[in-house]
Amino acid sequence: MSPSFRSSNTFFKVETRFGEKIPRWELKLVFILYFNRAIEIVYVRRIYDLYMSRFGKRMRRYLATWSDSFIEEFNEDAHRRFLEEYIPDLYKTLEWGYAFDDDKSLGAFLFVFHSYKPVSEPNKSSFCRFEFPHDCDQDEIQAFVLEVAAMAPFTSGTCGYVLQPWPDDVEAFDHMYFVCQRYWGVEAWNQDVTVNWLADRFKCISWLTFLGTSILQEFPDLHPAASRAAHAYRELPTGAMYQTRPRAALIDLNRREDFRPEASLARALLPAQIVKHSSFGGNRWTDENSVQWLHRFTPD
Amino acid sequence: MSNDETALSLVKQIAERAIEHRSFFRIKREPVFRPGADEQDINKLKRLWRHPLPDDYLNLLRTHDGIDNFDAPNVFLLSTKHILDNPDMDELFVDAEMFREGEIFIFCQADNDAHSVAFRASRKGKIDVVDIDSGGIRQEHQDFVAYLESRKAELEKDIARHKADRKGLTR
Repeated sequence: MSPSFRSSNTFFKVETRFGEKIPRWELKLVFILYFNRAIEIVYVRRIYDLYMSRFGKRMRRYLATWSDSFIEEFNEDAHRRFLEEYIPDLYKTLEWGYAFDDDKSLGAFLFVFHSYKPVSEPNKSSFCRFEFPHDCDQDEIQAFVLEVAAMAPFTSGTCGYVLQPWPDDVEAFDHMYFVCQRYWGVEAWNQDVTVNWLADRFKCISWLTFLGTSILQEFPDLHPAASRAAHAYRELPTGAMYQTRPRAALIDLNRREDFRPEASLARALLPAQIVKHSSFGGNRWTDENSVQWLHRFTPD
Repeated sequence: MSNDETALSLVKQIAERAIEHRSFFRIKREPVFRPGADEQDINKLKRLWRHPLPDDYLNLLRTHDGIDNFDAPNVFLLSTKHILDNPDMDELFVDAEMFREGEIFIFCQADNDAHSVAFRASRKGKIDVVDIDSGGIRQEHQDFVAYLESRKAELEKDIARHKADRKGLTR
């Protein structure tokens, strides 16, 4: 990546709103695992323990994922409360997830887990999401995500570059549209929309693509084909991970960067990919071009 | 069972279920059943509205003159004193042109938003019950007992849904 990467408005735009700096859009490395049911407490606890043992010292704040909760300071006392009270009490009342971050406006480390209510909010995929600065050590991230994925029976997941638009910012979603049309290695993002379409399929090819055991069992021919097509793969107790290339790449079509590794894996995994997805948002994305974009590596 | 007994029984069941309903939202509020109203206050109440108030409602007030934290999450069955001290409770809804002046008589109200339950008199004098908030009419019921039955059923359905959401998850 060029030295002017961060100074370019293509991947980062920060604005001051109400005295606070916010990223209207930002390139990050994001790892997300989706679950087709609420995440059981035992798995939440394992993932929490692993994340905090690796990145806990960076964490400064937390909040519960229900809409009116307040941001609280994350410190040793809060960590103890999570172990003794908050995680064991998950799902009993209002708390169906928590988010933690390092309080940085740009390039933040963030960890969030949230389960949707099986009866009140049916057909939505629960998730665990980990965000890292775009220039984070990819070897460290890869080692971490493989450990997480082996811990809990997920349905699918991705890890790679994502352009995160500020929620409800139409211009940011329109900008994401143009970036994603040019850079095929940058994943279009609107998690609130995506969770409605993933029940037993995966979203799209990423640097690292994860398929859970349930999908691999439904499509027994998938794993042999995908393991041949991938740059590397890893079998996990919970499913499998397929890697397209040694390092995540932006895949700039204007520079004619090669996307054959992605196309090859995408063809192998096509039977398990979603065929429906509503618009990512903004004025440019539509239902139709959102699905087309998700299938960009397998246009036919 | 007479209408009065049915109403009293339903009111108690609603208050009981409201406690369980609130527990899913970590709200700790217990119902407070106030002692019965005296006949003087009942008569003042009857004169406050130009239409006849239903007997089963008035008889409930004779047993319990208001129930704090009656329904979930924060609805009170108003006491005669509260109603007599606040004769313009309907103003918000009249100003919003949802009802004509004197068309409704509010007997239940939330303590922190506009949610209210009222008797409504039609132009022909028929009295029914409307469940209202700032967005308009949420529900309509043919009479007081029908309103109570509906609330009990709604609470039970909601509680069942909350339990189903958590089944197998809170071990």
